[in-house]
Amino acid sequence: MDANPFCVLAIICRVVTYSPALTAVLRCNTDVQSLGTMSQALAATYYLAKYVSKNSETQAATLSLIQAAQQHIQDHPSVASDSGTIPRTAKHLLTRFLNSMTGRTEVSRPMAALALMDTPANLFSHSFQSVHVFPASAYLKQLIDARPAPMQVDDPDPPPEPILQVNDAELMDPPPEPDNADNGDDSDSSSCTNMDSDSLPADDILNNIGRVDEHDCDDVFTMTAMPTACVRGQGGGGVG
Amino acid sequence: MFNIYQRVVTSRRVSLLVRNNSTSIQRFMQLCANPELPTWLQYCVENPRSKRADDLYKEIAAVAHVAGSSVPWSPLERKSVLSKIISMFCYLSAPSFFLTISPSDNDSILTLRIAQGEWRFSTEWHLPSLQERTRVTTDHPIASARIFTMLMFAVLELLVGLPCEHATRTSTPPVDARLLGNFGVVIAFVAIIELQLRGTPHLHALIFCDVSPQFVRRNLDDPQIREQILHRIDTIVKAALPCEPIAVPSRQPCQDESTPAFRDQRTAVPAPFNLSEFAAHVAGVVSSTNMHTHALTCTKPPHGTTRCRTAYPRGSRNGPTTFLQLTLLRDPGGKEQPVALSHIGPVLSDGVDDPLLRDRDKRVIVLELSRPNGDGPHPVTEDGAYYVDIELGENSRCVLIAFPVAMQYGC
Repeated sequence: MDANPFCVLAIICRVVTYSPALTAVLRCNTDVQSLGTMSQALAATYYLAKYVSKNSETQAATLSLIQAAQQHIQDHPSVASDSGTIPRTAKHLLTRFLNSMTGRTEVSRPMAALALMDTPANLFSHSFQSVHVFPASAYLKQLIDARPAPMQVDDPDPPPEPILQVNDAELMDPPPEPDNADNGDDSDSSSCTNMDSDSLPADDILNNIGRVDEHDCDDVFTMTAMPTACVRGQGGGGVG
Repeated sequence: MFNIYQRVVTSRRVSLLVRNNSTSIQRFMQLCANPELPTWLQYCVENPRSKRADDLYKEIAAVAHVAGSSVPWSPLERKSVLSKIISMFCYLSAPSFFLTISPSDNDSILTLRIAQGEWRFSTEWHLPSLQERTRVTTDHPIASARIFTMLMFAVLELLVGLPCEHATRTSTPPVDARLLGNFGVVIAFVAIIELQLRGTPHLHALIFCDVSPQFVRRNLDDPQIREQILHRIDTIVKAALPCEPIAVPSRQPCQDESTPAFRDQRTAVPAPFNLSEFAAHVAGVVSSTNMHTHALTCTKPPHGTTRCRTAYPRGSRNGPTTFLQLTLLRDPGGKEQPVALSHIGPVLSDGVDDPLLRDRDKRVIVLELSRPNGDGPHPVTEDGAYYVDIELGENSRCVLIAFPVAMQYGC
């Protein structure tokens, strides 16, 4: 290491990374950062996540708004029939606080113009839907807990697996062939013992849920790692 | 009008969600009925860091928070992006490019023509001076906003390769059916429109491409694929001027006769197959708009307090674009120094999956672009590879500095 490593800075580069095609067409300031590795990608994502979620509602600002709302409802009391009661006062204060919080902002003229032209502030290539996973999981567990007791059979073999009705069972992997399929039951021998054709063992469902995260495609890796989520195709197949 | 618009949307979409907790609601109602509340609020506003202010804030926050759909261009809408970015990260792995576009509305001919009512294009029309152009665009924010929107939509759809989901009724085509865009085959993107200090909009975007960082990580140890990846990155991103920038004045009629041709948008962009003209055009634009100059934003804490927050200027690096591994090595004095290695070492694994990356590879590897020319168009040093990063820690002690990779490690 040089004694004075700053000396290498004599040759400096102030050129911000750019893409020639973008620069040529747009003729403006651009910054194209290639997030070549996971380290850089994580850093950029964390930066952007922090950037877009800047908390503008600080505690001091919130308290100021509450004070203004409280002052307002004192000066202009509610005209409702139950004005003066504690619940009405609380509702009035909360309503005023909400209006103050969302209504008092300072915006630039271009921003107001963009908003009035219905330009979204955030652009996406895909739409999003909220999936309430935890309530669904809780509901599934509730169903499993409420499953009927295993049917008592005379066969001395181990008792059959508990069952759970699943409408879209075809989405799951087919249930494994039971070892004791030939136990005298008249049902279809391709399914588990004591099961309808569209039912799966509850334990199999749980196993499927657990296996989702463990699957890894050979050529594509995704976080969810489900085969249906491998939208990246033959990634890098034509990188040359 | 904007205020009215936001209030209407707010009243329709937003509500205060009062938690269904009878105890907290009773306490809040008692608080509202307390005659001392105005005095407390006054004290808390004047002393926002006091314990009483903390307690009062917690008391209110325990009762209600804002719920409902987002209000356009409000802080709540910006916050809602966070979960979407995380979900895209989880579904698609890490993004491949971070793109920022800051259109120059002062140079936009379309903006000027709309603002001035020049609907018919005339070759006799004189391009106003920069000062006049700035005045016109400032006075006509609607024209600037309209052109900005059209420009960004066109860039995303034509150059990036995917349209915005709100602007199309059809689903995005399958990956195999997508065309090769400027960044490769694009899987998805998320873009955020921000406003600069002077009020002009710019756009940040995370672009997810077929060659993901995860793919790069998995193929780092394959020299052939690594070279292909580096070659592809080199075709997309540059960090040096392609040639000497020459400020050729515009041949079109301009009020300011010194207006360079690359700033006059009436002049067509040279075709890419005409390499010399195209490179000269790109060099002119880059030297004019893409040279970092320190501004107030460079000093934002925490990193900005000790150096330029964006790590400019950077060291010139003559070697080709490559991957460097950051690690700690002991110098002859026994002191650990962070170094950048151009030879990627074997996989480091502690046997524990990263909960977010699902990856056991703990190597810290960064992509270092070739910057052979410094600020100029020609190489000014002999062979040598530098990874430059300066961090002044406590007591202004340099903890990370430029590393002459080639000379020290013979790479």
